Amino acid sequence: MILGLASILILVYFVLMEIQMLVLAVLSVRSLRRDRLIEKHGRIDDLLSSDLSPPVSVVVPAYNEAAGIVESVRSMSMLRYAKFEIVVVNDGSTDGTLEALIEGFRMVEVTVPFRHEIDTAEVRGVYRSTLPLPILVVDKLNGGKTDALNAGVNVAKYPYVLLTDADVVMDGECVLRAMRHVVEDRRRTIAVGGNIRPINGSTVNRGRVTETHMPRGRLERMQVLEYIRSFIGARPGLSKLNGLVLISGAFGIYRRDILAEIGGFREGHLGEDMDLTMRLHKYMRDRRLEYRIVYAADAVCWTEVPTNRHILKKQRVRWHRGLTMVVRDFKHMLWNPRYGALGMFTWPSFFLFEYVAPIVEVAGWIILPFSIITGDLNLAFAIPLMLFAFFLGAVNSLIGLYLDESYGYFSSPLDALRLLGLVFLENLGFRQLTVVWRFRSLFMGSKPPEWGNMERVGVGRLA
Amino acid sequence: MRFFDGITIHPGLLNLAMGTAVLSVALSIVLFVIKLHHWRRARILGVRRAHYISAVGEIVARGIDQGFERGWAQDPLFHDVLLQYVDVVAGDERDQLERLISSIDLRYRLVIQLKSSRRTSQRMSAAGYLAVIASPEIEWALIEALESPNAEIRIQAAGGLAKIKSEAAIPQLVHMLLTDIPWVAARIADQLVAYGPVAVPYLMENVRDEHCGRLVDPRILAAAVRILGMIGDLKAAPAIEPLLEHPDREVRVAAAAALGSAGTGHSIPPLLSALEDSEWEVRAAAASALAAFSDASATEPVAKLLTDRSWWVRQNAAAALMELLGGLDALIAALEGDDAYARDAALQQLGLDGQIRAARAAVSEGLATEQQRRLVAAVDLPDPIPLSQREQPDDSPETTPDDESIEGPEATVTELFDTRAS
Repeated sequence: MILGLASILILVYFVLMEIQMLVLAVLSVRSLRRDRLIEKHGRIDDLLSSDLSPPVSVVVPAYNEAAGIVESVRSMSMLRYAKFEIVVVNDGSTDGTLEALIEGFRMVEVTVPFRHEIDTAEVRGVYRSTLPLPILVVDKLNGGKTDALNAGVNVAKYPYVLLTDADVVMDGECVLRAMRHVVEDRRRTIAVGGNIRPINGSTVNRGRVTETHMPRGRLERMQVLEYIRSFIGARPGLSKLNGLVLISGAFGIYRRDILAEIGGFREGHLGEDMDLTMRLHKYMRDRRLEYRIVYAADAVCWTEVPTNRHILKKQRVRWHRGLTMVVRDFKHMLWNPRYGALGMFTWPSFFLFEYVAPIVEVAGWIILPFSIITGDLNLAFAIPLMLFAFFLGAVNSLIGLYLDESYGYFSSPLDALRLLGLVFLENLGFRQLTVVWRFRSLFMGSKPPEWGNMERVGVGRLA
Repeated sequence: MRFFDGITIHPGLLNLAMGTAVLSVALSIVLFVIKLHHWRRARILGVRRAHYISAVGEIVARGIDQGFERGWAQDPLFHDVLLQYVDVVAGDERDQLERLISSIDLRYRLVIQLKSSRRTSQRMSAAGYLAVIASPEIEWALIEALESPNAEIRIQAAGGLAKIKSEAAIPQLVHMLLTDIPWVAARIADQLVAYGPVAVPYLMENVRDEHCGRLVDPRILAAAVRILGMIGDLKAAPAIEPLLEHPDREVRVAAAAALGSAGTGHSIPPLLSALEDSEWEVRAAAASALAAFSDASATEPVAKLLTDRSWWVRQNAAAALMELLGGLDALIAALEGDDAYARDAALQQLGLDGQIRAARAAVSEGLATEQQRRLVAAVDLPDPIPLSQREQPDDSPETTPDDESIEGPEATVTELFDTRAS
């Protein structure tokens, strides 16, 4: 009897999870509709030409990136934006990253002090390009990715900082599109997150993605669907509620003063981007300050996703361990009306349906078959509930794909067909695999911080 | 419903599950059909667009009689191509396009679309196109569009009116600076700047009203002064100078910034007084403005600001000294002094400007001037208080340009224009 009840509760949990996703998807539809209108008829070019657009410092941490750093920074230097600088932070690389930058951009060491507002490992020197490019390189002792980002924030001179990775490929207009939200409401907007898309399978030419295709590998394709569902199907909705729990580390614009005020990234955190987003919410809410943290779906940044099971496992385990640390630190914000929609809806949803999900799912795998064998489970309820959750999940993914369609990626109908097939196949194997990894990560504790770089095949070999 | 022997599926739940299943399959089919439609449409439109591009190119080169078909006049894609050309051609070619636009009544069609289309996207698109091909005949329609509830349409209309320098619209545009939506105000300000000297008398009206004792909203006054500065009309300087003593901080900041580009030699004394203002934004703006005059009388007062308690004031003062006569000596003196913050500001400026590197190179080659030798010696002096040992609170209350906006009661005009960090 107890087993049967537990089984039904587990199934109800999955139905609720999908209903929550559906609510976010519907909110996303409404949020993206306005964005699309503005993009089509709006003011993007006005922003580019206006002297009134706030300048931005792009902070790029680099550790042993000698092979691709020059190309990556060169592509960033071609961003379409009125005024920006690029601050590359060499975090004690041992492979000649600094030398590559010095040679690539004809850099010279300059004697400049900077605002030491966030504690970091010792800075050995600052270099400036003698080419007409706004590039600074900060050379510092190794201290990890978060330390490098903090050092970059210290050196950044503009009031907004874009924190990104050295190995991403940005759309030329992504800063412009993200900063539109700042210009719209400069007083309240303290952070803007961008849309991260898998680059695998696409064609990259001169540092820009020129054609988008579905990748060949099944694992990569599954991740494409996951990214679309998360970044297009859910985050615009979370943003509409001002309850964005995570601004991805690959692309996030922050107001520099507030970032410095909260002490930048915390060292030793495995989910540093989510930790930062939550601390921003907490800082503003605790002081009862008006603010908004926005998601810009049209500010697109491309990144390589794992191509094999081993790398994917490492990534997912790291993400879930990071989430565990965030849950530990911000549990007091759960169901806390003081934190508004974040405390009452989005953060509890994230806790229940992201953090707790692997526990419930693994429990379901054990309890459900057992309760069927013992005859405790009322199959009359269980079977349709299971089917309902399954197809509701498919509907959520399809809404994400529908919203993504308006952006015009994956132009071939064959790619669309592949994605549609994955909507129904995702729950047959891939999902279970990631659940096992996430479940195991719960028992791994918190190891010392590492740079956390994903092993990559390289953009050139992915197409 | 009996599922298999012994199990009866709950009919309500089963219907729900089956309904969702049917919905997901139907959505998949619809999505695929949409994709197929988009794919085909993109191909067809691509071909048609290429055709129009080549046809309009022909018309531009040889005249309207060359291959134009009347049916194209109805096609929004043709309008789009045509208007893209308008943006990039000039002279005779522009005249050819103008004839074509008139012959197909494109402006009239777009005005109808702007006024009567039910779809917001259609109205926005019409406003955008009209801004590109604005002409005096449609001035009335653009002025009407300034009242649109859609902010984007208002901005596009303002852009069109600025293009034809419609004087009738200027008072309304100035009034629109009062909007509660900061980015709309900023874009309207952009358009008023685009008007150039035509807008100056209207903007000056606000400044004169203020001087005559008539109450002018400080937000409008500050914005008007900023725009006057951006237009750079020197005739405005005498009216702006007294505003450096206005009780409203935003107005004082705007006046100081405006005098940097629209000031004359007479503006130097009031700007020097503004260096002692109680608000750091005003001091910072005044220091930057004085740099534009390269006047030696400003060097000493600006050098004093190297010890200001605000980071931005120190930065702006150091940058200004690079432009002022005798400023380099003042920066070297700051390096030799015992104020760690003044030394930082001077180092930052001299380091980024390449002066230190050049001086070191000159010294090592034996070609250094006395000033360069002094600079190298001063750079190598020990820091009075090493950076790591300084207590932040002494230096940080006003370190950032946007501090005021964290707790500010409302968006300020300063915020709209605030690119001080640059």
